[in-house]
Amino acid sequence: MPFPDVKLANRPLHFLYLCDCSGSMAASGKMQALNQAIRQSLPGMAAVARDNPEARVLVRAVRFADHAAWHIETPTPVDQLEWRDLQAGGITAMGEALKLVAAALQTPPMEVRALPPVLVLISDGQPTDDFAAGLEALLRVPWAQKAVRLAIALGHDADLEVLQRFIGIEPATAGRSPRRPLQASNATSLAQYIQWASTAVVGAASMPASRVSETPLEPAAGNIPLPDLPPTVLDPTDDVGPLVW
Amino acid sequence: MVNRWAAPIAASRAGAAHLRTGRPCQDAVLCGELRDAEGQPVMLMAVADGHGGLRYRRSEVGSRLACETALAVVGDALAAAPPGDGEGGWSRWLAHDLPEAVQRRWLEAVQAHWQRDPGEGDFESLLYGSTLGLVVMTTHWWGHTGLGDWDLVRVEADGRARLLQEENEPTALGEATCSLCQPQAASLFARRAALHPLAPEAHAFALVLCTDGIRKSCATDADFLTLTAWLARSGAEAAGDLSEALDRISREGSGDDVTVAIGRSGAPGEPPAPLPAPPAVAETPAVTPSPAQAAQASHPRRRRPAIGRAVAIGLALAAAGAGWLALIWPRTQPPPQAAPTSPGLRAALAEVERLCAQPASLPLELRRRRELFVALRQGRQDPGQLKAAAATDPLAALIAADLPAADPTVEKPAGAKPPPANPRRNLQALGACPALLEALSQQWALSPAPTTP
Repeated sequence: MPFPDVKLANRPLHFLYLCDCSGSMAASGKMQALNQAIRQSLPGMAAVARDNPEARVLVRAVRFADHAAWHIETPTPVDQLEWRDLQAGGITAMGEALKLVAAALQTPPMEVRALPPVLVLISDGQPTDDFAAGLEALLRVPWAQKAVRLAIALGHDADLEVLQRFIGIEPATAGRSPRRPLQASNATSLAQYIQWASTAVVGAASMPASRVSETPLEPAAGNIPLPDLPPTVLDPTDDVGPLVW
Repeated sequence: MVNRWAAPIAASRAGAAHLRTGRPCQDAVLCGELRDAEGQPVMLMAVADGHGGLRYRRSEVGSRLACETALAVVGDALAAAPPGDGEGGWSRWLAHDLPEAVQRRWLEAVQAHWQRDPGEGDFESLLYGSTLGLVVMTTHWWGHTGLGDWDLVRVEADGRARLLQEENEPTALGEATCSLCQPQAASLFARRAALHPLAPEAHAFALVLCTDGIRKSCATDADFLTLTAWLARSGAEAAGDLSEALDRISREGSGDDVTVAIGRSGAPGEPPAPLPAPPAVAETPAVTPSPAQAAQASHPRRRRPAIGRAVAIGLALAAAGAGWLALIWPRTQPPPQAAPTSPGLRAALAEVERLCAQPASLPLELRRRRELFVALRQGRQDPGQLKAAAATDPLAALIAADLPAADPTVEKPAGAKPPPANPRRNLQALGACPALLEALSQQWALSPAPTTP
């Protein structure tokens, strides 16, 4: 019998950047470094997408300053993405950005059969709006609960506690972990973290293994097993650049 | 009461993503025909999906043991006195008694496996984590139970398909699913358990039980239902096509392991054909068994003779059932034409097509057969035997057919025929793509013939 006329399809993998565009990002070349890091990461991300044909990697981006707004609103296949530079200026409406993402992660428009999304929050400061309300709105959405949530702190003024709340419960063990905010102290380490999130994490999220559902007795260790972090200046054995931010 | 159930048919295939990354198939499937205390046939089909990933690194064993355990527990229950209260008793058995026995015996089985083959660190049942979906089909009723992200679809004779079961656990988010390794596993079965009386006037229908890889490969649930209806019908007409279909579903879809088991009930007054003598399972499978299936078919035979025979019969029927199913299933398509080639050659052609459709995974697939390349090269393996067994291991047959011209210095086993002067012509005639020929060449280059003393 001929194969039926059904649509077989790979599973969408939504990757969302949430980028702090407050005025402080203009200092010390942070905004420029972020634009550069994301732009340079795209070929690698596209290569990972090609290597994992079972996942359809779709990228979106939110910028937040005085208000939050879509920088890339349409889920865009990574190989068709052209990164337009973000501009810095204003305060830090991070809570509003989380609400914007929460609305986008509703089903529909999210497909039921999508892979767990990847959310990457990048910030150099502290939220100036109601972050708690934004986070609550986000975490009410099942797709946000399922998401791989990562945070990159630019410089030492970033509010690590807020970023940790976005990621989720801090790991019990000490040391570097992708389940803690990743601290980028210069353009090089920022680029490494962006590259890692857009390649290694996307690769892992593209081929998720099923896992045991969370129970009060056994909290989940994460929606996907995250790959190892790249070396950074935080590791004394590595030296990838000076402390700038 | 006349038995209206045909022997289930089943297939399980490693997912495209698993093949590409060298991960084993972590799905398992097992079908069987048992007898109840009155000697009435009872059909059973079980699918299980090991979780995969480092935390569950023995889940391919866990899924196999889940299916075996389910079959054993059902067998024991059928051999014992039936629970009181008729169908009400069996209904409670599906929801409570069977789950408790399955969880307890699965835990014993995985612990025993760990003791036989201990790994690093301490034993944790988590290492073997697996789902389990189970359908039991008797002359009076049929029922389902289990836990995890399997799906069950009922397909009517006119092709209408309806999703009967899916996982709806609130904690099963993302790729999370309920598992036999959870302490509360037995209590999770009840939400997936139901008994359906088989009315004497019921029309023919099919039950399609599958792991989540199939549904996740479909763009919409409508596509999924259409696909399961097709699997139910095509599996009956040409069971061998089931594996090819599963490969395609995974390749063009989720990339996950894909497993399906299909049970069929005939229309009133249409008893099944007499049971054929059970051939050796490994000799003529119409559905290519996965490695897990092969293990399933043999392992219980060693440990539980009675159940093992039932499994063997069940799998044998899975091989032979297509013809009978065609009798009870109204056709809309003309009967398939007689096969133009032998089963072995057909299997080899299908294997060439499959391999060439996934050129990226070719090196990995062939690397897994390193021992075979070396054995052939060194004359320790007779290529003729492998080619004769193409129906059961088409890849080995292709490798044997590609054996480079004989090195006169190498001794051959007694009676072994020398390879043809130009084996490449054999594979090219089968439509082998350049990538396959190149990947084979690389393996031959890594498998030097022994030097003469």
